[in-house]
Amino acid sequence: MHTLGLLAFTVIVFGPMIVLWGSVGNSILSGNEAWLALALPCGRKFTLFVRSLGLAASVSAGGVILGILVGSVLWRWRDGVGRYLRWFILALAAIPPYVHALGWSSFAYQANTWLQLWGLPDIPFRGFFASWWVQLMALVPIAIGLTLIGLESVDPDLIDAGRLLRSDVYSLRKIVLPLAAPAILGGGGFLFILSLMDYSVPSLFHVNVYALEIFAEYSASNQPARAFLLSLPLMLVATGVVFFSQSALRNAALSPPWRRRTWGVPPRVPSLLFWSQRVACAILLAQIIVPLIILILTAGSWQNIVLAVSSAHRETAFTMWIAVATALASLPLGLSVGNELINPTKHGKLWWALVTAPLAIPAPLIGIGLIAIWNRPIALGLYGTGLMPVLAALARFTPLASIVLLAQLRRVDPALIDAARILQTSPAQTWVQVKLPLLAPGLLAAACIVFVLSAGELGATMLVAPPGQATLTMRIYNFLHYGASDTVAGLCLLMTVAAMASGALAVVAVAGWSRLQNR
Amino acid sequence: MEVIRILISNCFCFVVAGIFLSSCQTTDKGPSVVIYTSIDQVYSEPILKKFEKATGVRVLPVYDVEAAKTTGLVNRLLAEKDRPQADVFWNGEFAQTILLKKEGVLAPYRSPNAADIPATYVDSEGYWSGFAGRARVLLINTTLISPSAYPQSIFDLLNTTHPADKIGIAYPLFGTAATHAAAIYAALGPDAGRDFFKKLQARGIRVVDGNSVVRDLVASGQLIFGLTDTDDACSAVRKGAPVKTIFPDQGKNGLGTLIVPNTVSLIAKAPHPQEARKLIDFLLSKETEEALIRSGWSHIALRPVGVQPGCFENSSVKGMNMNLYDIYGQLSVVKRELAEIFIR
Repeated sequence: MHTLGLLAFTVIVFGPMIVLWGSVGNSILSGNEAWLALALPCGRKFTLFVRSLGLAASVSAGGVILGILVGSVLWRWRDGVGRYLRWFILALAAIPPYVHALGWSSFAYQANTWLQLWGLPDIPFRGFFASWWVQLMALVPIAIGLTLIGLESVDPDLIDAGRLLRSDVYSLRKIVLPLAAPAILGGGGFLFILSLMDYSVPSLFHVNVYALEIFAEYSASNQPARAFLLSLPLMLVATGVVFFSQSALRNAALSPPWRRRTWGVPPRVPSLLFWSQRVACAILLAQIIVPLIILILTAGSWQNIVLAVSSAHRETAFTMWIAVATALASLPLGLSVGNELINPTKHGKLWWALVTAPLAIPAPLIGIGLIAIWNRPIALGLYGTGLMPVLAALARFTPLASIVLLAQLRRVDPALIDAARILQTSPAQTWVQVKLPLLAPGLLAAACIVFVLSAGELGATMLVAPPGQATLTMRIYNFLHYGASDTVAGLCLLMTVAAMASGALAVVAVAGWSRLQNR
Repeated sequence: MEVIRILISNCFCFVVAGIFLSSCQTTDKGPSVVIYTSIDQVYSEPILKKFEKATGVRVLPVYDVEAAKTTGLVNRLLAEKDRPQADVFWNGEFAQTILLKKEGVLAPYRSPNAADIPATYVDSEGYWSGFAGRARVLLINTTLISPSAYPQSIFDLLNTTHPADKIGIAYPLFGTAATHAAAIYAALGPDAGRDFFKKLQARGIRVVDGNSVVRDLVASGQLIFGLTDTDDACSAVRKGAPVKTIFPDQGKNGLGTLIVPNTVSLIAKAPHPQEARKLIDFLLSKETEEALIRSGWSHIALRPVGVQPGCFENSSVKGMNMNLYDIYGQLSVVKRELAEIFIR
């Protein structure tokens, strides 16, 4: 099964990249050696590259800080509705960044109108800060969700032991954060990559980034090889960031504590941390409220929302199919690769070098690679079916699933697996009764992240969507151009509710299953 | 264990059902035609439904989006060239269509319904036909500027009486904004064209992510005016935004504005050539052109039709006196030069 998973990962994720390398090779053999210079950003491109890295790094750092501050508060919501509600934060990642941009722009515009009325100067909401803020707001649910997963994985016995001997803050700093670090830094790495690849939000606020240069090049030349060469520096950086964020950490084998109670006695924290947590929670609240209020106000009335939703039932069904199928299929593939990544041998290092590179390939190039692979007479007849968008989303997001699962695999105590192997009646029993409970938080987080990102995928899906079918995101962007902001708002609300409902189903399923395991 | 079993079996059923449904929907029986179109779904879908109703041929569309920055359907068509899925390409402009002709993606077809379209807007070899034009316009927020100060020319983008950060254009590297830039290069000459855009960049006017963003920023009052397309301007007018549309450079010695016709073409090796020709004939009919004008997508009829555009006062618009192939000839250079100027 493991080999099969690796093989499927290779075909689905690396396939488009191999095609693109092939087109680069062909171009060079055809006498276009000068194209290789595109892989070295210099002059104006170097400036763009450095600016993009700066923006991505600051979004990532902001996300990690907010993630830790908010995650440490939500971590203590372990009773009643709050226990489930906190996971819905991940669903907020389904709101397209463009909606955050519109929401915050409108908010800033309104605020400046009030300032003008009071005779005060405007606060310009443009440039680097505005880009950073909107990207942070759009991506922070992922950082918080992963931080929460990391914190949930910390053994409460270790915290209790630490609290007996030293202060709560010391325990947090020396025990909790280091043990949760793989997931927290994984979240930071994701935010870095997702910010690095986004050109739409920065360009809205008059910030030019390297990703826009790639699109401009592709639009001007229509040569995937040129755009691919241009994106190579991003691939190297993405690989480096995720590799170093994870390889600097040691594996910390722990028992599965995620169902148990932590912080039986509320922790005592210094006032600076206390107020920082409150400010971070207020920012999270604003992150939820501003786009939602703007969406509800823009939608106008319930009738508009109902109309927008009912007219998009086919797109909703197709999107749900893509998102669920991708989330499910990414788990075995991601787990196979996660098991390779955790391997400290040369083999594992090779996987590290390979697995993060696809994350930095522009989405349309993934689509072009998929067309080259699957639009052939002998390619199983998949091309032109609803499986192609699933393959596109898998190609883009399975590496993320494998890194989330790697963070979880680091927390699994090998002694438990060894014990299960000795006592098992069948490998399947070991899997269901031992490995699955140990991996469950990571599997759930990976599935949720892949679900949300697949539902919002546009660049690759558009190139391989079967004729006659479209996703909700395609419809949203189509209506955005038309200016039907009420319909767009209705559809965005639908997307958020659908993501939340799916998240709720997953949480209920896992909660039910964990109750059964406890019996 | 029971829950696990139910969960796994449900997931399995879901995936199998999804594969079945998604396969079914694309291999349905009966005549069908696949169209790739960059026209907004809200405008093109009713036309395609009408065709379905009139002919009984099922239409399977794939719609482009502005956010893809013209790297969407055109590149899909190029990638699918050897085994095309599409039968017809209905493009909202002409430059990418000419590119597809040059790349061997299109096949010639002279529709009888294109006979009364002026030769300027029809390919001499029959690879594409133009219809239902749009135009580049200045969209003005009427609450922020007095009528006497309304800009009348694209050169007013350089007028320093208007604050630079309150004027917007879309990146002139993608879509109709790029085509307009190519037309300006062709009309003024490459040196003067480059100089114009360099001055725009040096002024610090806002360069945003698409014509629809220009419209939204003008409509909300964040910009005083901006350069956009008639369909974007029309949607702002219809929503009741405080805006006015000016067709630029309409004076006696003015350049005129760029008129961008829709283009329709048959794909080489199209899987359903008969149905494709029927659809092309339908799209090139006067009735379709009238319907597109009525809906607000098009505002410049390329031949006499019985309807007037509802959004704007001008019924006759002076276009730039340019050959479409001359404009296309500038496009590649323009995109590279303007990337150097604007993306920095």
